[in-house]
Amino acid sequence: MNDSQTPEFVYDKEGKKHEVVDFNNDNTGSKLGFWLFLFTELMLFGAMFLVFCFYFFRHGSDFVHASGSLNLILGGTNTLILLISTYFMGISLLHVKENKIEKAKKTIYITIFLSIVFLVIKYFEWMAEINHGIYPDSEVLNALSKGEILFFGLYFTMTGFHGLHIIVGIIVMIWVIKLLNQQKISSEKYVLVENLALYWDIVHLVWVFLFPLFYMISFGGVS
Amino acid sequence: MSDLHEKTFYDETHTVFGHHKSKLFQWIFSIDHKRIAILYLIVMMSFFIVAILVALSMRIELFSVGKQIMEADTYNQAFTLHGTIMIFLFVVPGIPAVFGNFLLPLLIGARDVSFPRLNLLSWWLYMFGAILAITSLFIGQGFADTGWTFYAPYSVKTGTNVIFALSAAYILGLASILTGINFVVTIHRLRAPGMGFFKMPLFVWGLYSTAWIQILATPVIGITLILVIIERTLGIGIFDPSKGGDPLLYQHLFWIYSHPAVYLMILPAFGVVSEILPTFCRRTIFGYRSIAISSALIAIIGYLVWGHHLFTSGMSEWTKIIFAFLTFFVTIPTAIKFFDWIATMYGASIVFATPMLWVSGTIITFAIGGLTGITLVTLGVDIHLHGTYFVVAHFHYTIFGGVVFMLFAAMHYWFPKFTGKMYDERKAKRAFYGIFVGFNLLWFPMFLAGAFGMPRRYYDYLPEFEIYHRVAGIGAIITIVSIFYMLYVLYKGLKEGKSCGNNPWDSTTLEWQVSSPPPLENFKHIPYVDFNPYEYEKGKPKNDLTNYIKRGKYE
Amino acid sequence: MSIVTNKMTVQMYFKIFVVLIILTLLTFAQPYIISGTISQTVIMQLFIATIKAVLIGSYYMHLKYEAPLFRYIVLMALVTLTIFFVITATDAIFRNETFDLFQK
Repeated sequence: MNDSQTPEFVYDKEGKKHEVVDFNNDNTGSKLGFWLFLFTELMLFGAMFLVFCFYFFRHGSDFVHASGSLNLILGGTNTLILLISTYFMGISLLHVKENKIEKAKKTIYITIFLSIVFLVIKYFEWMAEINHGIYPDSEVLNALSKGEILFFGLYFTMTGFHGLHIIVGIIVMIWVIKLLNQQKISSEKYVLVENLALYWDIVHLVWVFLFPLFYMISFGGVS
Repeated sequence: MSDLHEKTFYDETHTVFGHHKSKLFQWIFSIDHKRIAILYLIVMMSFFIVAILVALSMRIELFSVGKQIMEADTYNQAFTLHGTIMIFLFVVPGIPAVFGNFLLPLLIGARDVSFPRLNLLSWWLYMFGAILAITSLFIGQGFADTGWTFYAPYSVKTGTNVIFALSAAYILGLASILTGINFVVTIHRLRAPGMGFFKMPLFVWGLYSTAWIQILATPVIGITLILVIIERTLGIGIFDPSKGGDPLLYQHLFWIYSHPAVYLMILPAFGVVSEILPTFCRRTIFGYRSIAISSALIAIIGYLVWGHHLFTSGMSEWTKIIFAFLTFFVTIPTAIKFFDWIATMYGASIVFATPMLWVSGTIITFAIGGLTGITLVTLGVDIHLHGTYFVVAHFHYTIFGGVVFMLFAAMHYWFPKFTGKMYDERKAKRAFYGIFVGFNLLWFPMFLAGAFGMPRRYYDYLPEFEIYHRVAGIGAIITIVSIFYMLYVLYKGLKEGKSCGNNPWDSTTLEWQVSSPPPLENFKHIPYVDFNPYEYEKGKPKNDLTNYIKRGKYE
Repeated sequence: MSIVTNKMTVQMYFKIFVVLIILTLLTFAQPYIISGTISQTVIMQLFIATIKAVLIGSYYMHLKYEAPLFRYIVLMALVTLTIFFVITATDAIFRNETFDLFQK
């Protein structure tokens, strides 16, 4: 047993020293573990995209028609907002590594702010549909064509899951700010911020594919 | 020789927070991988007993034509409960949760897994999922009656507590994912210096392949079950044909996980075989590299074959042909393992201790199970056999005769390491023969019944099938009595068994070079390992690092 | 592990950011530059999205600078997902086509 500062060594039969990885202090291991967790997110959203593509193939024109009723300006704005927030999240990691803690906190605050704006816009988008009577199992929706019912069902489900992930991200960001204040994260110990940035990149990546498939297909077949 | 003054992991532990006076808290908050393994063992065996008693009730109901002890609706809930407990609460956690947790760090020369607290969280999630599942038995219309496969659209429409069962399965899936992440990182980061990937014990290879399946496949069923929950509560229409949904898509998504899941079950079991064989054949395993690579191949090819569960559901013909073709491929790595194992045994001086007996049993039963799988994959034949007792027999021969037999083998093989004591060999052998005979009496008739047309999950049947159910019923009773006898023998061994040393089986792997039971943090000094894992010289292990581990010196 | 992010600088992040903005604007503008059928639109959109994904993965998620192990495992996850898509696609496409090997 050793404390986490002094490394442990092992000697082979020739007397050569080999260092042992200390599982209590293994940044590469933490990063590897987090990447594996991100794969589960990839498979989770991937399976939902599978469902989407399956039904899109079956009900192509219905999907295109339903997509046309989504608000492209709001959706497009959200795309840019998320991209900008990813940039700031990445920058905050660089700041932490260079021990510029105040700058790091500022950029994380910007990321949080942008994420909240994203969610607010999303709320307005949802309300636009709901006010038209379009929500899961509504009378209006059930009266539409099958493809349209599926499109909106998938729309609420997938953007809902995506939004949930954003909320979780915001909570973790607030927690990271707290840890930065307590100096539990520093330029020596920053793997948590690195993993948070990776997480945020995945959240952004999901949207990178979600946006064209839900919003931009409305231009298909229309000249 | 275990030093009487030395402490074992039963005496001291690390907990996730705080110090606790209560022994109970020192166990359920412990982050020591060995204690977590035992926590899993106790809960899993309890659920196993519940599930086999449910199965017994099913066998009693089916003993004769007509109603015996339950209504048809209850019967549906019974086989759903049996399947759900067995799959999600017993076999999927299975060998990795107990023996993987206990042995992985020991086998690779590490002090613990990479994320000990995550390990404890996995167990707590497992408990939470289990309690959720059991609670649903006593609420409302009782446990789900959809079968453990929860097929849409029935799972969307039925009034029984499907949401409970699905939520429980989701949470158990989370526990499985976290264990998988833990094992992959541990194997990559914490191997003892000098131990390359091709010097790891084969059980570790099995755990590694399994962990990858846990990570990549489980999320798919996670989201599928959530989609069913959303469908039940919000009615989005994803699996509802009246809204354009496709029930077949549910089956695709469900089996995209559930087929790799069976490889997740069997790969650690194959790993156990590869550990037990060299020890009792007193020689190195034949074809180490091919066994290691075949584990990875089974995991990879296993992702490609899920559609063979959908052969009669209405998939396109082309897809069926593709799946049948791919499924034939997955038998090849398994066959390679069998050839290597038999080659290991050929010409060896075999010690037929109880673990070796179990391995021999599994080679027979899993071979039958695997070969009948090939029968089922043959498209034309499957039209007749799908949904019959032939399938039930096939998967019990593979899962029970493969995975559970190896779980029992592991329980006997590593019993001395877990407890420091030995069980009564003669009685344990008796238990094996009882289970083996009962097992074959229970499930072999089902191959015949299925071939002659007896459908599965049926509450009642035509009189011509009664003879098969009668024989199976007798086999069930013999099996269950023998299982209880086996557990009793192990229990007695725990209470009154003779003290054994570090290495009662004269095995070569690292866990036998520390005390039985091992101390907290496993190795006083982590050894340097640059030799192959199963090297014997004149019937004795060639490399002995006990001294270095204890004293830090080679002499 | 610190070798990785030492290569990432604010300037590099900003440059990639600008490229991503351009690609995003391209996403919006695509239908007006080349209008097409449903399939063609989807392909073009997904093509742009994939380029964005590769940039985000390589630079923002540091894959370009990480140990090879990380790139292998990402590849494994992506290949697995692709397999699911491809085989399920065969069912989607050929669902109602009959196939008779011995049909004349």
